[in-house]
Amino acid sequence: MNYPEKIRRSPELLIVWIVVICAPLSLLWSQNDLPPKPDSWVNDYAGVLSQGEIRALESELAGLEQRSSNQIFIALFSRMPENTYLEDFAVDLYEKWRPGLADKDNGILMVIFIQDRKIRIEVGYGLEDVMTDAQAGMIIREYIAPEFQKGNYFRGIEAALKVMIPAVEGKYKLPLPEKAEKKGFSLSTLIIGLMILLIISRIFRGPGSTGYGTRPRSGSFIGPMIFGGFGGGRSGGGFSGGGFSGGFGGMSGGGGASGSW
Amino acid sequence: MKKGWIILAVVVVLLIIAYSSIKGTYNNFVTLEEGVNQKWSQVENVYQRRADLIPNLVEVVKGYASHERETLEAVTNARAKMGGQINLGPEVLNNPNAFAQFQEAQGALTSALQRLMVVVERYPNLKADQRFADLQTQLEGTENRISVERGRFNEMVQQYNTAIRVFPANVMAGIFGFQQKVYFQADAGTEKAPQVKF
Repeated sequence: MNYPEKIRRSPELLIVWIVVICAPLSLLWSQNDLPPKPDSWVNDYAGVLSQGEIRALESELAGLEQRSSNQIFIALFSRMPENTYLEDFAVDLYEKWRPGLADKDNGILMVIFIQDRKIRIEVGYGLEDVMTDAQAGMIIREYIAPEFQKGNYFRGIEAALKVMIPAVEGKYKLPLPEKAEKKGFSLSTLIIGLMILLIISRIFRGPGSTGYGTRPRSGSFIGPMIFGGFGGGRSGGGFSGGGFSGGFGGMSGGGGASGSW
Repeated sequence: MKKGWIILAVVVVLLIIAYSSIKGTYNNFVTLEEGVNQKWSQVENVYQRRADLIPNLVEVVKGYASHERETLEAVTNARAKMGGQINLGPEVLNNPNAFAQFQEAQGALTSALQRLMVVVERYPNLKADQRFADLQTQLEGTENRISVERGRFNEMVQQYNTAIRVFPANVMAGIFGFQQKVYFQADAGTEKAPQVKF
């Protein structure tokens, strides 16, 4: 491959390559300071909740998840990173943690910055109608802010959950277990299919090597084809009834509300 | 005779390889283009959402701050101006001029709304109104949605444009008529997350 030569010849190509190379890098960099995975429903990086308080909140949220598959994650940080917007941070963290099912987007992420006195309730696409921006804002103003002002972080969150859980419950039912099995089956057929494809392409390469120069061609297209197939990056995420198993793959589109206390 | 068969076999194999590579690249273009269209419809949705909020917002503000006529009219006019500009469909993405017009109209509305939100700071009674508080939150949320969906749309367009421009895919893109698509440029005040701060 003679990429450097091509690049020297065409500044346009150079730009394309810079974009191709830098896009994933910048993504890595911008999400670097975000915790990669939630440890549980309640993630207290600020250390303002006691173990007992965390357990109490978690049992509420675990119950909600088991009954309805709705996932509410809570993250408490002490300070917001420099040059960050609360809203951007919340969307980025949501994209990383993915609360809610991939096909229902029924998750909510509550991000709290203790020292900045800022909070955001980020609502997944699938719950935007049962947890509107106005409702989320009202919850922050009426239930969370008054308690947080007194330093009662646990009571503020508890009061908010008492309103939020009934509001979002009942919209979705637990997915049937067969569905998860089907997903696994389709994935394995995909893999088998890919293997067959690879074998076939191997076989086809054979005659190509007699001097007609087809080898690099066939190889260069299989890569994009495979990566094109997996390019979505949305993890399917199975549903399990037991302990905490991370986000199921939901997405949000910036819905919800921000506030301060 | 034997040689003829070998040549035929090679030709057939070459044809199969050519077919599968063209098919793979073409389908990749189609998938990416559909992705762009889907993200674009999301962008249109959130802009529509904002446009739908404005009549209520103007109504409530009028109740308390009727003599801020100029600011209110600016908002109403900006909304009216892009009234026919909202559901443009994905065709606009191949038309830089129409797209620039769309972006300009939306930008005008954004700045008119920002001015309105500065003005309302002077009316404590308005700010205390529950309906206004709700509308404010909704507007804030909608501006945030706009910035999120715009960002995702731009990412998708970047993927698509890159795919149709890299060699050798660009040759096929030319043959099948896949054009580069336009995307949002960062313009004053609208690129970064909601500026409607309270």
